[in-house]
Amino acid sequence: MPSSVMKVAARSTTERRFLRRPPPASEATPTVRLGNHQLWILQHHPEGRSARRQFVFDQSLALDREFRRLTGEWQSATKYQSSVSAICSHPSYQRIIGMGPPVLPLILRELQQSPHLWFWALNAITGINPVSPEHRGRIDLMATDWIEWGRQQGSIES
Amino acid sequence: MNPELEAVFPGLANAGYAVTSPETTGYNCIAWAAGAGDCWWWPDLNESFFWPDGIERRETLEMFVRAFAVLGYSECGTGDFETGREKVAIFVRNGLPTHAARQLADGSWTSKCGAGHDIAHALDGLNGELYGQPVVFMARQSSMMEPTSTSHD
Repeated sequence: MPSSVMKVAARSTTERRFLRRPPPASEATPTVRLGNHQLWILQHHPEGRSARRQFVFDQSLALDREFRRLTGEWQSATKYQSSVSAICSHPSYQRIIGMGPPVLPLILRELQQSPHLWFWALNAITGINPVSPEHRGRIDLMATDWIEWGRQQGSIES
Repeated sequence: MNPELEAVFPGLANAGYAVTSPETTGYNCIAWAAGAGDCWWWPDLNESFFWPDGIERRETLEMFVRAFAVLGYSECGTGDFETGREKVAIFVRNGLPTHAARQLADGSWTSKCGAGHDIAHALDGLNGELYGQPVVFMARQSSMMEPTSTSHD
C-alpha cells in the first residue's frame, strides 16, 4: 500500500456519522488520500487508532526506505568531491532536507554509525548549529555535538 | 589498483598511482594538502567547516590562495620538483576550486580524494571532469614535517 494512501472507511460524510455507524466490513472501502477529516477519525475513534498505528508504521518504513535510497545516491555521486557546497547541493541531499523534521532521527542515527557531511542538512532542518567553534571541520567531533543535541531533544535514544 | 578510482579519474591508470590510505570522511583534500589529516577544510558560509582565521569564506581561487599563503606558501610558476621546496597545486573547474594536491619529497603528488582514499599520483592523473586541472602552484621552504592536526588557535 502506498505510504501516503490508505484504505479508510469514508462512506460517511461527517465524522459524527462515522462514529455512530461504521460501515460493515463487507463493504468495499475506497482508497482515498487522507485529509483532516480522516485524520481526525484516525486519532479519536478506537478503530481509527488501530489503523493509525498501522499508518504511522507504514509511513515510518517508507520514510526510512526513502532516506536510505537518497543517502546511497548522494554518497555515491559525491564520494570524490571535496567541495562542501557541491556535496550538499546534490539533489538527493536537498531532497533529504526537504523531508523535514521527521528525518532528523534517521540522520542522527546515520551520524552515529557512519559520520558524514550531514551538518548542512541538520542546520537547514533545525535552524541551529550546536557544533562548538573549536570542533569545526572535525567530522567525528561535529557528529558528537549533534548526537548530544539529539539526545537532549529526545530525537535519539540516550 | 582501484577500478572505481580509475573510472572517476581515467588519467590515473596511465599516469600511475598508489592508494596510500583507507577511505575516510575525516578530512578532505584541502586539509590534506595543507598538512592536516584530521579535519575538513572548506570556506562554507555556514561556518561549519574549518577555514583559516582572517581569510574570507568565499569559494574563489583567490581565497584558496590566501588560505595556503597563511601556511607560508607563495605562488610559483610550475609544479616541477625543486629540492628544498614543497609545493601544492590548486585545481579549478568552471572557475571554482575543486581540489588541492601536495607534492611529496620524491616529486610525486599526494591527494585525498573526497571521502575516499589518499593516493600518490602523477599530477596530471587527476585532470578531468571532476576536478578540472591545476591552475595555481604554490611553494614554500620544505619543512620536512608530516601532516598532523589542524590548528584551531
